Amino acid sequence: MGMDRREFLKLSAASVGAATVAGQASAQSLLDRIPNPFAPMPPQWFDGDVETVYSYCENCFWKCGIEVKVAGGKVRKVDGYATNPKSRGMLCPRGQGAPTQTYDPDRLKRPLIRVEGTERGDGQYREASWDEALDYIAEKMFAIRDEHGPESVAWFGHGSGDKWFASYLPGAWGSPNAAKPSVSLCTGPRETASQYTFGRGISGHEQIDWSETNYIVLIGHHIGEDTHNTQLQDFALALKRGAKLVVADPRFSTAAAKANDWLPVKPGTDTALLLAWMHVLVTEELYDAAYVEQYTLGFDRLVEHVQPYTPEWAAEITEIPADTIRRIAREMAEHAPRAVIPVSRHVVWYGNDTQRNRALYLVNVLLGNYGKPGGYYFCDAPGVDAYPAPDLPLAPSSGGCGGSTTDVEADSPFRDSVDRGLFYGSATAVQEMIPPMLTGEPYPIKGLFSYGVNLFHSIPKVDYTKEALKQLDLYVAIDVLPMEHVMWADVILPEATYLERYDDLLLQSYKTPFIAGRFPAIEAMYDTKPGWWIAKELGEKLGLGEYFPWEDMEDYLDTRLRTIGSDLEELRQQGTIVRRGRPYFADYERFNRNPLGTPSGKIEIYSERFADAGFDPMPTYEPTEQPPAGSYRLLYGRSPVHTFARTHNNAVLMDQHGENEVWIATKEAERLGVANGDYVYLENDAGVREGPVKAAVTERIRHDCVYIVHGFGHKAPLMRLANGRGASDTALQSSYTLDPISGGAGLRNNFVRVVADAPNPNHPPIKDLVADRSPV
Amino acid sequence: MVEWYGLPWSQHFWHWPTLFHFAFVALAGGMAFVTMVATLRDHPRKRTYALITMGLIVLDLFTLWVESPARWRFTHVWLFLAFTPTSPIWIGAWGLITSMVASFFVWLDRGPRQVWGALLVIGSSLALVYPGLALSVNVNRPIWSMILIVLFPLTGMVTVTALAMLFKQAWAKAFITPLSLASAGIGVLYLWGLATGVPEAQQGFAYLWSHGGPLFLVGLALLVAPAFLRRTPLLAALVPFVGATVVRSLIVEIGQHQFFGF
Amino acid sequence: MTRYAMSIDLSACVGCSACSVACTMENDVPVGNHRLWIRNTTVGTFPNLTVEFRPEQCLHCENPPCVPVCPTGCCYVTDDGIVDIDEHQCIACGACIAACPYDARSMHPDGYVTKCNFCRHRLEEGKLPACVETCPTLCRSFGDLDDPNSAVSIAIREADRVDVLRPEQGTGPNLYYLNAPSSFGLTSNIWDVKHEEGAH
Ligand code: SF4
Ligand code: SF4
Ligand code: SF4
Repeated sequence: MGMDRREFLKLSAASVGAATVAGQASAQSLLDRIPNPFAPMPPQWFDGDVETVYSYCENCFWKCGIEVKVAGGKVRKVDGYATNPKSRGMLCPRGQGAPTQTYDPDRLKRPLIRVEGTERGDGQYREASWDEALDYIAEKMFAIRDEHGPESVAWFGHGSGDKWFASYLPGAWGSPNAAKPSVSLCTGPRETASQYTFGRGISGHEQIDWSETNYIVLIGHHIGEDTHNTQLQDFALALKRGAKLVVADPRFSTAAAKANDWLPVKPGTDTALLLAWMHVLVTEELYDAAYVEQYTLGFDRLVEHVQPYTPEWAAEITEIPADTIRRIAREMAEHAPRAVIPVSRHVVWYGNDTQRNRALYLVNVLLGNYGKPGGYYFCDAPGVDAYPAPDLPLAPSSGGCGGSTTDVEADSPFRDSVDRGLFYGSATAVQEMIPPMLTGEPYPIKGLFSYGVNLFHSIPKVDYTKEALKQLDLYVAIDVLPMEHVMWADVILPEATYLERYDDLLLQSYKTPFIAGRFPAIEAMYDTKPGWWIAKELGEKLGLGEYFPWEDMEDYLDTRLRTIGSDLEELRQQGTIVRRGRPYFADYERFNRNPLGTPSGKIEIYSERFADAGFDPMPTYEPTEQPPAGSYRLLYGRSPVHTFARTHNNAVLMDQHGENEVWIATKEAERLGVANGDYVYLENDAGVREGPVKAAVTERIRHDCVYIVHGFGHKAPLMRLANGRGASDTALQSSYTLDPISGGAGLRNNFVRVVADAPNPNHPPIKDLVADRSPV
Repeated sequence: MVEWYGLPWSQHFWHWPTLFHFAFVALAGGMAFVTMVATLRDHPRKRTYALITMGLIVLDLFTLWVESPARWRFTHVWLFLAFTPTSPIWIGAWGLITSMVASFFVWLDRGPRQVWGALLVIGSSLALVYPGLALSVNVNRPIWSMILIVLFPLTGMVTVTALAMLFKQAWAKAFITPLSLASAGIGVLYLWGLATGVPEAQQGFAYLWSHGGPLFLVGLALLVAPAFLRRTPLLAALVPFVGATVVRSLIVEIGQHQFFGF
Repeated sequence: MTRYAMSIDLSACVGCSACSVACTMENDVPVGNHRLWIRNTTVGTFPNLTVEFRPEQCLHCENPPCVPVCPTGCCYVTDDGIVDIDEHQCIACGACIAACPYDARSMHPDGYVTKCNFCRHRLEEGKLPACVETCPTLCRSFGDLDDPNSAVSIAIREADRVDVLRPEQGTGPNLYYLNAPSSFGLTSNIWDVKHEEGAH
């Protein structure tokens, strides 16, 4: 034995010591474990030190400013704060429940690479280091570039980090095929309509002057079920002030429940209603003549154009009585210009959506409210310079919700996007990036990045998408949860959640434009990384390092903030920096400036550009396809506690609303032999069957349609709470009607049958599916 | 249509083990009553009865402990450190503990017999009455009507008398029929009270009826049966025992519903 | 003296559940329990419909039936009128759950009863209860009923209609529902609603 005595003694002393310590410890913990009925309850999180970190919410993309409360190294609560114009101290249910997602045990935890030799969709993965995963991606990307060109990599993004994956990196790499579902599957048509009418977009925050308006007409606008925080606050305050509310909707929505008038309009006929309102305003000379004279172009053509659109004509089509149509038009005029028809989100309904939104704007214009108090205000994003970096070879192309995009210049070395020419507008349409994966026309898409875009819960024709994915050479998913589409990817990159990361500045167009910062409240859990880090590392591996000259995000943000005389520390202390806005025409006219960006500098009631391109220069009514006998039009909407398909593994939110229900009119349900609470299947003509889904037999919906809340019906076994609950509307959307102007995919021309007597899936309560019942 | 976001706790708060508690506490309280009479009369078997009383109390408390969500928190000491005479459970706890202590001394055969007897008068009546009381104080739950304050001690005594019969206690035979018939009578009165009461009570009746009405009637029928079973003491004991337990359990189980939840 | 009370303006509430989720996070309410939940009830027939969006929680009754039945005295009323629970004395007997006419109490998985306590810890810091603070429709008011200038006093005074839940129970709720949308007041329970639906 080569150990000398002294060493041995030392060792044994140490081990005796260790044993004693261990003994004490176990006696101690044993004692601790015997409950003492006289001891007070263990402290609550708020009893100790609570640290506050400013950030903005990410559970939907309204991006409310939040204070994150951290106790014991854990985020316990988020609150709004008063100085942030979007939260004003309040949050919606999704914002409140968002921290639960960070602590979701089902989260993606480390980079994964699909096991070689398996098929996409098999779900066989091996763990990898970030280095290996990014190298793997870079190698495949070089191969695609060599064979097909850089344009053959498509980039989809949604969320705060989409700047990196749907704009910056594609711009640096050289692909115009970058798209956001928030454009062609959501707001695209309203943006295009706004651009061609006013020469400005609608900001991500709809610029409705709620606090000044006295008469509100909502068309298919689901405030209340859609809990965009500030909008809901403004809406409630307006009603409290006594503003009148009219809601046109085939469904007695939450908003309709608050309305003075509910117009149960026949689905697909909204444009007829809008045209009839124009008819009344024009023929009864109720429009704001001075406003029309000063700001618009082509009014005389409109006078002629709307002649045939009488309320009687519209009554036939919309099934709203002619006198009601007339009365509402007159009431709007009475309250004008403080009467407004707000534009909504998700306007891709029937394929004629740009024209419908133009009609909606034109009614507002006749009321003289655009750019006036009580109507639509103007807003711009606060200006903060970009980080000094070389110009990108290709301008970022996906645009925001605002959808404005840059065309690839004629002399550019890059090819134009694959969807160019399919429609008139210049935005990229996410759904049009799929066919080239299969057809190779006009050129093949061989690589795909999906940053937070749920390919199977947002893009219609899910089966087609799956076929297309199989043809790719590379498919990378960057996400937080093992969504179904994520588990198809070749490489899965786990992103840190919003509470664990920095993000770029939020530069918010608003009545009072503002800048908000996101600061990490806790360290990233597991081996997850923020989007900006992933983009920079990948950029470097792709040889694009020069476009990422910043050290890290602190350097990046600080440098940007210094261009406006602030810095990162100041933003960290304040959370939000609020600027003064220029909401009305008067604010521009004072400086002899014109906020309208149309070629004519006017509001273009008559669009020369549309006429030249072969579209109706003024909106007309085109009948929409009707459901075949025995089928219902599939309408969909929001649950107040869920966002898209992103929140369905959040225990707290699922505990609030754990499966969606299909609303069926009472009489129809009787005919079908379906009772309230029964389970049914929904089936479309393409043979897709969804469900079992619970039937909500209700008086609150017209007979010709059924309604489900979007985002349920996940088929993702690794998401234990979401998997198999309810039905997916997207899965049932086996077709769409392309809006030839904006590229929007009209989703509401899908029809379903209700199949009674589905088995009850007996979903266990959410609490039985979570190991730890604590909300975080 | 009613939509919910989150749900109220309108599920049952007492589960099947609680039914055992309601059965054992009837036996324990009833046995304390028997011990009380035996003690006051200086019956030769009073020590045996006292021992059985203690056993039943322990059994009942053990059931309570097993079903308690606070099993490992040992907070039950607070039952005896607090003074909350408005709480039927507190009353019951003291009834049981008093019966326990008195029975212990009766079993030891030490001390003043009259005092133990007097304590048992109090203890056993509290223990017998409190289950019905604990239900009927909940005026928000119409199925738990006031009559339970009578019905529960009576049916409790039926079960203990039946038990005594099974163990061939001669005195029991004389009591089983009147007790069972009285229980059945009160049971009918109970149903009639619900069915003809305020609208809430009528809702309660409808609910009780649809969720266990026939079984309830069977329970009542079993309580009437001893009148016709005089020749077969075994059956005359078992049948009303089952009847009383069925009636009690149904009331506890179904009565948890209040017509406000979902 | 302070007499805390809350009001919810049902003409403004949209049943969004922000209050409920805020409560869950603030008070670490276990998944599966709720101190606050939303009941949205439809009354009427197409197209003459009313929907009542109604958040429910402990009403901090003036005359709380849940308190006297508690055998350990752990259910008590504070001087400010808050009905609270001293969890570490709770034996989880369920007597108070049985007594509450509003299903406001629930059993915590750790073996004690839990419910809304108007976020007492926040009141002590001078903050509003979490539900009141977050409500995006600003339909909740909170404060001291004895103070005529408190938010809740003003809200109640200005309301066209004030209702409490199950008044026949004689509990004297301190949660007031303002401007109930149906002509008959609050929808009381599903049996009545069926009845109302039939009546239209
Ligand atoms: S509206 Fe709600 S989910 Fe969306 S950002 Fe605001 S708090 Fe978050
Ligand atoms: S947060 Fe406000 S609006 Fe939403 S359910 Fe609660 S009380 Fe109603
Ligand atoms: S609502 Fe229920 S828990 Fe709250 S004080 Fe009243 S009876 Fe007690």
